[in-house]
Amino acid sequence: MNDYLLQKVIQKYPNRDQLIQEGIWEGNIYKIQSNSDSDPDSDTNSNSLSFLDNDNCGNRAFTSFDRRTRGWIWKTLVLTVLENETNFLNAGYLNNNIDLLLVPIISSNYSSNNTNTHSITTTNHHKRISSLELPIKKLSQGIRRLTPHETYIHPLRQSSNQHHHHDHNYNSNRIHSIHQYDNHDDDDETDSLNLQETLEIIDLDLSRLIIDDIFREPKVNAEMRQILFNYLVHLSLQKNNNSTHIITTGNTSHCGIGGTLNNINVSINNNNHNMKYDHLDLYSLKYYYKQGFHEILGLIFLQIYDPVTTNKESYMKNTLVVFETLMNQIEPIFYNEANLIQWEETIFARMLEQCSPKIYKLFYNETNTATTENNDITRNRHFNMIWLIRWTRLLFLRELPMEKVYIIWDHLLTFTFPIKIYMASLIVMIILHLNDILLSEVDDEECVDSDDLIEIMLHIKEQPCIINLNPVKVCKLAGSLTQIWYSQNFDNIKSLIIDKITKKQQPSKIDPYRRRMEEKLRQRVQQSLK
Amino acid sequence: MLQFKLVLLGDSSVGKSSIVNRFVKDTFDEFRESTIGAAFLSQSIKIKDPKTNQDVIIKFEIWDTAGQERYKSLAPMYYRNANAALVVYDITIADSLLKAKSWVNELKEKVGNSTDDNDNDNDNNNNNNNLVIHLVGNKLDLVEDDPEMRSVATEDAVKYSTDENLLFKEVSAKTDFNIKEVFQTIGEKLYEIRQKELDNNNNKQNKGEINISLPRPSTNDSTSCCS
Repeated sequence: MNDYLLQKVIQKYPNRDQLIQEGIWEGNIYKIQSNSDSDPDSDTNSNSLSFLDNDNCGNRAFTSFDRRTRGWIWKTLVLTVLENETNFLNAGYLNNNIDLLLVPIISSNYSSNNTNTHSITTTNHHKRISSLELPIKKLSQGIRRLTPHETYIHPLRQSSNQHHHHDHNYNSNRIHSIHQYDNHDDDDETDSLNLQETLEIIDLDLSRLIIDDIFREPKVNAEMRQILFNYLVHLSLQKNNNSTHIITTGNTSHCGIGGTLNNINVSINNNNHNMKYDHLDLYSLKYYYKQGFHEILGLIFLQIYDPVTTNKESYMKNTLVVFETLMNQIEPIFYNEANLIQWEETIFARMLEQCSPKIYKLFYNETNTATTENNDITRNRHFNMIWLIRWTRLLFLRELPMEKVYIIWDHLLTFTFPIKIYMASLIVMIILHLNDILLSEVDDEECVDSDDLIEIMLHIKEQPCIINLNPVKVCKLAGSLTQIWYSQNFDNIKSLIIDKITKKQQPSKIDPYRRRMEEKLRQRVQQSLK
Repeated sequence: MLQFKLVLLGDSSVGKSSIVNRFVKDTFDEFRESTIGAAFLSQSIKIKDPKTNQDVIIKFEIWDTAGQERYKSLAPMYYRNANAALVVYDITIADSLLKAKSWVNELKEKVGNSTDDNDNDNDNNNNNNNLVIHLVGNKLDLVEDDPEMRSVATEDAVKYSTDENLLFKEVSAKTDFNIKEVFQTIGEKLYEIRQKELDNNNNKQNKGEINISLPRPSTNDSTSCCS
């Protein structure tokens, strides 16, 4: 059965472009049936389906790919771009020119930057570390640093000012401004962890990764740990842009898709085909791990993991490259608080406003904020961050049923659109799908309780309409919205919404009085028939 | 029915989500996924009105926050308008009490500041004195199995709680020890505060002091238009 699906996919989409265009974006790949007697192309015409709902007839959802097939799809989407390259770091992994770094062991013998080190008792809490009974370098501040540094400047205050600026120059600067927020390094500085802190929190999170039972296996856990660590080393080098860590002999190049160290010369020693990490001081690096990395990696690992192979390095490297390619777009925006806030202001909120002023008003209710003092205005203005953090950082992992998440990730991994715009479009589309729920849950549009909205948005998985959500249509419409957003032709947004969404929603917009009358009539008829 | 917002704060992995899930769903998972951002759950309890001895339903809107949120700037959004805070630490990890103390300080400082603003709106819900803070030492079951695992002495936490005027209990989300009691105590305390506020308002009216300012719509007042 599994091989049948994989073979079918490979036959139908022999190259990456076909897989992306015909398979994923046209949605044909999701019509392939595991039953070989059926003709996938004779399936329903997508135009006949209602807005963002699965087809009513047949009640068949989408092809449920086994992990091996999905792993092949994701590897094809990401890795084939790099396979023929010789200089990219990630290509180095794929061509086995670069070995994965081993996770260092923390010991009291190591002295970083000549600072004093001490042996301390390990925390019982982190079972993996404690079980090894390693002497761990004492934290200078004496507080376990799993939680953040306290900040003294409230970034929301800053962004609030920026918001007003955007308001004044809204039309002219809208698109311009959305490209301007890649430089919030302050977050990075305060977010950095040392090696010990990083390994502690990684171990903690991996021990709580419950998306599949295989993560309970020590072997898998160790592999995940190593992959995550390698990514964090690359991320650290990327953020610190510290080329002194890297030997720069041999061919060097900047990375494009799938690249790792955008601003760092990466070298592969052509003599022995091994990247030299000799000069890389892993103990002195700053690390930037955040909760959520582990879940994204977990889902990718799950597809690419091969339990029977003897070459585990192969799937580990493949997983790292796919993960890193995705994270290159996600991490700078959604895992950086200031950038996330700015993304919300300049892309998400504006897009929602254009697509549905009515729903926008629910989420950004001015009357709710106007009565409070300045600080509260700032806080209330960003109350949507509470749910947006999880939505964006985990790419819908906890918001939607897994089968729908896979399909959305298929689309994300084509990298057809910049993820920051495309994610906003996806979220807006899902919100529009929740239109009726949002409007019915909120009794008075002029007096919206933001907590109610947050509750809905943190529990959409439980909404019946989400079960019927057609992820392929969501992705397609979000793609159209992204294109329009990029072209700044906002009139087209209105026509997109009216044509594709509003008209399709009309049947559910029957006057409630009329509906009640019809219901009563139906009951009377039924009674009379009895 | 009275509705109150309760927020859980504390270091990573001290058991905030486990406490909430034990209270709301009466379940415990040895392995629980990390909270990203925040989670929301609600649960109602019954308390007795001490004067009338009648049952009163109290509904908690519970905000469970992520312990590792790297930046504390978003934290104020979580405890905005909170009536009660459960500050959790792990009794097997000394540092987690330090973290809990920093959360208590932040709550007293920041919620106090925002209260000044709210007072202008005649909103008494968040008066600094009225924010109920309950310190909770979790994972008592581990210490019962192996007393040597204890890293935070009960006396230290009791002394700190007394000094800071906090409610305090040691609990186990795993064995369900003291979990309901914590929420029951908070509910009773909140009800007591609410009754005092009502009494004060009645006294003012009886004395002829008419409060002409209209109360701001509040999520915590079930009789308001926004409840």
